[in-house]
Amino acid sequence: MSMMEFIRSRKERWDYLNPNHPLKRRIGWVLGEARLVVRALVIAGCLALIGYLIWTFVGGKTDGGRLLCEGMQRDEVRAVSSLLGERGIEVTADADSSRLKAPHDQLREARWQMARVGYPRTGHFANWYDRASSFIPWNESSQNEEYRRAIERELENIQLERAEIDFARVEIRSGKETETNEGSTPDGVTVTVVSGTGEAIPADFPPAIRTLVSKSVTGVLPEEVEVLDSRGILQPDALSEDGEGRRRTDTEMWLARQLEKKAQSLLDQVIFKNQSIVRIDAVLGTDSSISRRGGQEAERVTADGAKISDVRLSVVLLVNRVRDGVYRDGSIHKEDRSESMLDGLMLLVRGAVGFSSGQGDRARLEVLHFDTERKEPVPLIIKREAVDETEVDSLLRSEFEMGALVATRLEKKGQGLLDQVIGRDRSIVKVYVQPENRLERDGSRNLDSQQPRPGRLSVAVAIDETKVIIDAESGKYIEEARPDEEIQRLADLVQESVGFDDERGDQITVWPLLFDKTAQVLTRQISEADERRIFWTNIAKNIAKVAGIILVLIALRFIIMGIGRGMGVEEELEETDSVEVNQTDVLLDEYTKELEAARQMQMSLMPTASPVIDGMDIAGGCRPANHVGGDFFQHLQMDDSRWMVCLADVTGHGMEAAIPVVMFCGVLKSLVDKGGEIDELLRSLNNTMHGGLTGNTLTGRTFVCFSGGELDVNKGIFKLSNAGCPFPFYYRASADEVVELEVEGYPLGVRPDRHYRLMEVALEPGDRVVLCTDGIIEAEDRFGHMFGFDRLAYVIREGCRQHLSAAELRDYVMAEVTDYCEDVAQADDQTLVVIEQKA
Amino acid sequence: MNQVRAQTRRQGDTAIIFVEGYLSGHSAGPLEDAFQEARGAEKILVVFREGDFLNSAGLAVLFDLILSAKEQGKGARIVEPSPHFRKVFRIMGLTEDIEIFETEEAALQGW
Repeated sequence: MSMMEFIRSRKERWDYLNPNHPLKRRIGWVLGEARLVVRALVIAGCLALIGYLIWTFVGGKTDGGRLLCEGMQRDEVRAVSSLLGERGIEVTADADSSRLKAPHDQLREARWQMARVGYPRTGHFANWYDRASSFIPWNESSQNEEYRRAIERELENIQLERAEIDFARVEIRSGKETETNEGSTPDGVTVTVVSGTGEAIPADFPPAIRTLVSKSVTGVLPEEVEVLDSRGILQPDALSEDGEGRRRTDTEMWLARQLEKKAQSLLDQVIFKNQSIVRIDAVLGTDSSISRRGGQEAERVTADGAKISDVRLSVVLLVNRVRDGVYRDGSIHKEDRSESMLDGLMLLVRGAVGFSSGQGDRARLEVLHFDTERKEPVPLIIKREAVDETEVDSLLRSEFEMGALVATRLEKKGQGLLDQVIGRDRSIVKVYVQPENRLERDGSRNLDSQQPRPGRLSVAVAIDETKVIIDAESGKYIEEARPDEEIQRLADLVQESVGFDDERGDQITVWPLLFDKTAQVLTRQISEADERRIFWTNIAKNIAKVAGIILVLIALRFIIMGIGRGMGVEEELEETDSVEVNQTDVLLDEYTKELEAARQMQMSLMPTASPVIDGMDIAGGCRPANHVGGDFFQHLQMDDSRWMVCLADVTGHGMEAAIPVVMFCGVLKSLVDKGGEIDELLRSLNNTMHGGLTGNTLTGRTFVCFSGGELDVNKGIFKLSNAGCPFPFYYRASADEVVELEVEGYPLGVRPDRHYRLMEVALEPGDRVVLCTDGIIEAEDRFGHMFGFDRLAYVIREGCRQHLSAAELRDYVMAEVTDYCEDVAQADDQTLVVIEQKA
Repeated sequence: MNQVRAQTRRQGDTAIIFVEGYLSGHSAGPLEDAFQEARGAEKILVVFREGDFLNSAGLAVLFDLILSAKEQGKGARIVEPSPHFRKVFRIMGLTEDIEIFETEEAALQGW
């Protein structure tokens, strides 16, 4: 649709609009009835709106480019202008020197270059995300989503893929309330960046990303932005002030993984799998500048001589906000984890990995909504890179494994004790053993220290805050809160069992938790459901069996009753039936007699004996498939020397064909008696049949196949024609062969005025001509195989070789056909005529 | 096997009638229906299968139907894989007016 068409259609729509339509009425009022002042105000308002829209769309692009940043102090504006100028980006400042504009095509590059050096410091980037005008913070989740989208949009706009950085995702940590209570700002932002090349992220990227995010999105402070790499490792300046931003060594990654496994197993026991994930970054101190807790411990030296002063941990714990709660009736519902539980989980993890906040370790808890339908229900999917085990420092590894061995033994002792006291699955004990320093300050190994002695212990104990007791009054099992005193006593027991030593710096974390019993409940429910299913299945089977037996019995009863009644009825009807049977028999007898009479009549139409002709022997036979049939043969003397010898096959058989046969016979005799040449006779016969047969039978289509002709007995010439019958077989005695006389033509009656070709055969002594109907050719054996042209030719030749007479040859062929068909019922009439020129 | 199935498929201006079974005078109804269905076609191809059977009455029906179509100016051909019935058609003079083919492809080729 063109613009003009569109306008025309709108105008037509407007014209057809009801005059009382509110819109039309109001516009009409403004244009016609309102006072001049009102009209002017409305028009001015419309113009102002249009102007505002135009300004909104194109305003930022005018006057030397688009707005880059604003709200900056003059000194910073100058510094940024100089910086960008050196990088080939010409920016212009506003009159008040607080805003900078950059060319449209260099805007992104300008922002990125500014962010890499920490600008803007006093202002912010233009087009920044203004939450007040962009969305209404209905709730925290929608607000966080808005923040996330804004940050992702900003990062996408910068197109950091130029630096081969792919952003994995942006996560917004739970918000904090603002003073105006209009909503909340993010508590923090986690940006996970993935390097497309697999290389470490350039050291200046994390601070640049932090600047970019915080200066383009309001409500986010730079220190609230954390940058993780693909391995989930906090980027250096997020870890410590003096982070070096280097890629973690395989030793550090291996160590981190061991600690992660330990912490994760603890969490999986407490809140089950797929409900939490622990990511730990371990940094081995390699210089004195970060050995802030090295003062209390001897420095260690790796196998290759590098000094190890300490391991600094950064722990990130992600926990699913939602848990499955269990009602008193055993049903399960979704509920948020309590703050105390989340704090407890964090403390347990810290205890399990030997966390020490006083010595620089950092820990962060993130509570997120896990998509538990996913196979990996982790909101921040971070997979560790594979560690080359051969590159793991063997000395540190052996020390750590030694500590882990000791920790395992101590865990068993503590856990065994608690299991005995409060039962299994009601507590969890995890012990971390700081690897004992068995290296001297000079780096040599203290070989006297063969037996592992525990270093500093960190013990985490989780105890179910409820317990199941037997109610004294009711005698039933009830669940009640575990008293704090009991928990303290249990903790004391654990401390005793693991050899807790305050002076050594050991620390213990004990936290009462409401153990998640969902799995137990589910297991019990499934078990009960199975039992119910089996119970009801068995019931249903038994009911079905009983019902089946009852149905069978009922059916048998009816059958027996029916048989009983039937016997009585039979007796009653026996006499009546006998009367009817007698009547039927009489009718059948009459019908059979009538058919036999018809058969006799039809057979009387055909010669019963061969004509006596000098030098010629003629014999024919007809074997109808039913009492009467559609086949017919005849030999009629035309004059002193000529005979009409022929056969015919009226389509169909039985009574349907028998009556036309009678008609045909009469016509044929009539025409022969009339005299004339054979070809004229055939033409007349055809025309007569065409007019006389059509519509006189069941199908309305009755034709007569005809084969035969005029035999001049004096000359030994047979002028034959064929109208749809099998080609006549001609045995030439001199050649001792049988050939088919291929004379074809429409069956008589198919179409009028047809010319039927004649073939003259000069018969020699011993020659024979055999005419037949298709009933012989198509006689089938029990396998459905037809007797066929070839077999008939073969049989004729065999008969001729035996010098059989015409009648003998006829009988011979008929017998062969009968033998061939065996006991297969005859399907069609079979007629054969043999003409022999005697020797 | 005293029944006949006849299905018609249109291919351009040609109606192809596939005949299956024992064609007799009494079982020729489906074949007549098929010809009725094909009356709008300019050409009619009757396709018999190997193993089909026609008795004399069935042949009479086929004669009438196909010759009537021919007389109406339609093109008509027959596919008869059986050598026996191809010979029967020839004996009956049908080949003077109707072309008989051994396969459907041969019948449709160049038609």
